[in-house]
Amino acid sequence: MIPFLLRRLLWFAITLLGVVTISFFLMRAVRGGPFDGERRLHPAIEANLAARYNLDWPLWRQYLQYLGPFNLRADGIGGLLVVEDEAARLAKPAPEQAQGSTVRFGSNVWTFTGDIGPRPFGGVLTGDLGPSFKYRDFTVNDIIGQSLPISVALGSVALLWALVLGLTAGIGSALWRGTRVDLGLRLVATLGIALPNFVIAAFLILLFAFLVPVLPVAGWGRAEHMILPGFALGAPFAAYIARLTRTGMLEVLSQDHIRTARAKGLPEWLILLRHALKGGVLPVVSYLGPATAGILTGSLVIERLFGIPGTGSHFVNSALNRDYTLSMGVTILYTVLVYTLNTLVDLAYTLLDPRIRLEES
Amino acid sequence: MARPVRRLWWRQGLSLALLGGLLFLVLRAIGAARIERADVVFNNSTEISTLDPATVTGVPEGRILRAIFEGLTIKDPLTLEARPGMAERWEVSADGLVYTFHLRPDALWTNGDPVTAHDFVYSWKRFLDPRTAAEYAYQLWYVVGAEAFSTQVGPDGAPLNGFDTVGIRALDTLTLEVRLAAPTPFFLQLTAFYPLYPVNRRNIEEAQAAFPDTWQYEWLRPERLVTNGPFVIKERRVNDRIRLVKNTRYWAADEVALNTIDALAIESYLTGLNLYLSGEVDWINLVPASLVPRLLPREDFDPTPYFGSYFYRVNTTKPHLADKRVRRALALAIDRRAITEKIVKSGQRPWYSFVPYGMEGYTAQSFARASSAQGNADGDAGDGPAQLAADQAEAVRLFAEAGYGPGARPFPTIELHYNTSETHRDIAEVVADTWKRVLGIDAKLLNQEWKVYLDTQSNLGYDVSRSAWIGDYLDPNTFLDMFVTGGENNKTGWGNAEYDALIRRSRFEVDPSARRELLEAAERILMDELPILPIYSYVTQNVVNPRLGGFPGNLLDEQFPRFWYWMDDEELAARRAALPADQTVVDAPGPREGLYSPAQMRRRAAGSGAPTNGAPE
Repeated sequence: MIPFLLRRLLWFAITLLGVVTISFFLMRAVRGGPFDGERRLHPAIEANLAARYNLDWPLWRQYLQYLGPFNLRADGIGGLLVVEDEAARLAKPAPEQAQGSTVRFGSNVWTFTGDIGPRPFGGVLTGDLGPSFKYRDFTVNDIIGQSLPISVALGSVALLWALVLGLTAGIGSALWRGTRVDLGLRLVATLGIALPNFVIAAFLILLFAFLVPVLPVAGWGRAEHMILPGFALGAPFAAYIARLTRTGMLEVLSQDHIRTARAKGLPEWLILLRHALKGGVLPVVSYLGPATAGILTGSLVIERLFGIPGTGSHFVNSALNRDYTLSMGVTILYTVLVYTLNTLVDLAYTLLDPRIRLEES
Repeated sequence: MARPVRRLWWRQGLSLALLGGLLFLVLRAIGAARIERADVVFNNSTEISTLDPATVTGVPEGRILRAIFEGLTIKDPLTLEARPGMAERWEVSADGLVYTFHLRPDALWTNGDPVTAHDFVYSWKRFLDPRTAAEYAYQLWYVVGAEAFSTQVGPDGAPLNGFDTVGIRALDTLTLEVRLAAPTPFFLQLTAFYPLYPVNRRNIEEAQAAFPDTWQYEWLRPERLVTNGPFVIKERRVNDRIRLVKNTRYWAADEVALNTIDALAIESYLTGLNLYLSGEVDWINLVPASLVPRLLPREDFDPTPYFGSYFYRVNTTKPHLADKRVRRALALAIDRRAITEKIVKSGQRPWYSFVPYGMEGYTAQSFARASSAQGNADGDAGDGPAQLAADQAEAVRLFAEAGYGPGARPFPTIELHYNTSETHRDIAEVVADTWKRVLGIDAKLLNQEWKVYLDTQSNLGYDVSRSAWIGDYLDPNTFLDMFVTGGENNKTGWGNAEYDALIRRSRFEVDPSARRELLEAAERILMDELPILPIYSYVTQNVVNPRLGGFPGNLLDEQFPRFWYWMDDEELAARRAALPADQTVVDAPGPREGLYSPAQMRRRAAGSGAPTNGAPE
C-alpha cells in the first residue's frame, strides 16, 4: 500500500504542477482583465492598479511569483532564487534605516519600512493562493476556507440523500425484479437521471415553499435550509446509484454463494444484507469518488438557485470576473479534490473486494 | 479464517467513522451558520468588492458604505440635496473655489476617537496616493493639485509631488479647507459620495504594524474596522451576508430606528424575488424582466425615474458610419416604444437625448426629429405611431442623401454588438429588424461575454455597440464629460473641438444658468453629430415591503438605512389610502406597532410614551 501511495503522490505533484501552469497561462491569454469595467479607468490609475498587483511584470515573472516562494519584489533578477526570510522581514528595522515614517499615538511608536502594500503573492508552493482581485478584502485562502465547509455540508446532505434513496430503490428493484415496483422505481430513476437538478429544484421550491409552505425558499443558516437543495443536488446521483445497485445486486444474487446461503435456509433479508449487499454495492463504491467530486463542484446551479454561499459560484464567477488568483485557487482545489477522492475510492475498493490489490492497479 | 474476520470489523469501523464524520460536518455547519433574522433584510445582489471607501466603485458597495461611514455631507433621501454630516456647517467663497467645512465636535469614530479635519486630510491623501490605486481618484481631481498628485508617479510608485501642492488643509482640529481648481457646483454632493468618506488612521496604521504583509485585508476585518456611520459591521460571510448593527456612538444615534440590518449577496434575481415573496427579505433592487407585468399592479413595485441612459455607441472611425446623416438615419429609424413597452416594460421612457429624464434645472436636448418634435425631449409628445412613421421617412431621406439605399450604393452589413443577456439581445433584434425594414440595412447580432465585450468596445472593434451609463451625481456633467475628445469613456472615436470647449468652459462657469446653457449647447452638438444613439431613460426596479418607511425613491436610487424605520398600522393605512386605485395591496410583514417611526421618535424625545420594542441599550 505504501509504494502505491507514494507513486500516487508523485503523480499528484506532477499533475498539479501541470494544471497550475496551463491554467495560469490560459487565464492570462483570455481577453479582458480583472480591472476592466463599464467605466474605463484613467490610464494613470490603470497603471497604478497594475503596479499594485504586479500585472505590469512580464508573464514569466508573474508566474514564478505566483508559484513562489521566491521574493521577486525587489527589482531585478537578483532576488529570483533568494527564498524569503520571514524572520528577517518581520523584524522591525532600526529607525535610521527605515525609509518610511514613524508614527506615534498614545504611548505607542511604530516604525514602518518604505514597503507600502502587501506582498501580493506568497506563492502556491507555500500554500498561499494570493489575494483575490475581485473580493479585495479577502485572500483566496479566506474565500475557500469560508465557502468550502458550506459546500461540503451541502454535499454531505446530498450524498446522504443519494445513498439512502439510491440504495433503497436499487435493492427494492432487484428484490422485486420484473414487478410493478421494479418498473416504477426504474422509471423514477430514469427521470432522475434525465432531469437536470435545477428543474427538480424549481419543482421542489414550488411545492414545498409556496404551495405547501413548510420549507424556506432559499438561504443558508438553519437545518431546514439544507433539505431541498440537498435533495435536488443528490437526486440525479440517487438515480444513478439506484441503477448501479440494481445491476450489481442482480449479478450477485445469481451467484453460487447466494444459492448456497439460500440452501442453508437463511432468511432472505439476512442473505441480502450479509451476502449480497457487499458485492452488490461494489460498483456504487467506485462511483462514489467521482460522485462526491461531482456533488462538491457541480453544485453551482443549486447554490445559485438557493442562495447558498458555497464554493460552486466561484468556479464560474471567478473566470467571468477575470479574478486570476481565485480562479486558479478553485482550479487547484478541484484538482486536489478529484485526485484525493479517486485515491480514497481505490483504497476503499481493496477493503471491500479482497480480489483487488493496489500493487496491481 | 481469523484474519478476514478482524479485517471485516476494521472495515465496518471505517465506514461507520466516515458516516459519523459526515454527520458531524453537517451538524457543525448548521451550528456555525445559525443567525437570527435582522430588523430589515435586503438583497444587495452580489458580494461587494471591498469595504475600503477609497478603492470602491460599485452600487452594491455604496449601499453598505453609506450605512457604516459618513462623509462631510449626507444627502437628503428624497431630493439628494446636501445636508450636514460630519460637517455641521460650511462656507463657500464667492468664486465657488474655496470650501471651508466646520466639523461637528460630537462626531466619534467607533473606537471612541473624535473625527477631526486631520482624518479627512489623511483619508483624502491616501485616496489620491497612486499606491492606493483608487479607481475613483478622479472624483477629487477638482481640487487644486490633486490630479498631478495622483498621476505624476516616480519610479518607486510614490507621487512626485508633495501633498502640500494639493489644496486640502486642516486649519485646526475641526476646520477643513478645500481649494478647488474650478467651481464645481456638485462638490457638496461629492463630499457625500462614498469614495470621499474618511477612514481611521489608527485603524490602518495599527494593522500595518501588526500585519506587515496582510494589513490590506486585516484593517477591514469586522472586528478591526473603525467607522463613523450610523451602523457598524458585526459579521461578514463571503457571498452570504453582511450583518449591520446600530452604532451607539454615532452622533445622531437617537434618530436611527433599526438595530440590525442584513445585506444578502444573492445573485439570482429569481431567488431574490422568491425570498421577498416569502417574507424573508424586505427589499430587492432587481426583478426578472419577464415578471415585470405581473409586479406592476402591486403597491410594492413602483418604478421611478433613475438617472441612467441606455444607448448604442457608433464607431465613427468606420468609413460608412463616419457620415452623421447615416447616424441620424439610424437613430431616427429605431422603434423605441416597441422596446420600452414590449421588452423592458417597467415604464422606461423612450429617449431621444443623452442626459436622462428627470434632472431638475436642466433641459435634455433631443436630436432633430421629423416636423415638430424637435427641442424638448420630454417624451410624451413624440412617441406615437404617426411621429415614428414621420421619423422613419426622414431616416430614409437622410440615408438616400448620404448615398445609400435603393438604387444607390448598398450599405455594408452592420454588426450589432452587445454583452450576453436576454434583454440586450431582444432589444438588438428589434433594432436590427427596424433597420432592415426601414433602411434595408443588414444587421447581424454579435454577443460577447462581459469582459471581452468591454475590451472590444474600448478598442473600437465594433460597428454599433450597446451601452449604458448611470450618473454618479445629480448633474448633466457626469454624462456629458464622457464624450470629450479622447476621453477614456468616449469609446466611439468621435471628437469635436467646439464640444470640448463648451465642456471646459462649463467647468469654470460660476453662474448656474450660464453653466446650464453651456451644457445644453454641448448636448445639442452631441445630438446633432450622434456618435451615440439614445434609446431609453432608466427607471428603478425596487420591490419594497410597503411597511418600510424612510425609503423614498430618488433619481440616483440611493437608499439611506439611517432613515429607515417600520411603519405602524396607522401610518401604513394612511399611506395606502393615498395609493392610486389600480394598485393592489400586498402583505406587509413587520412589527405592527412599528419601529421608531418619526412620530414615535418625537414622542420619545418629548419624554412621553417611549415604545418598548427594540430599544437600544
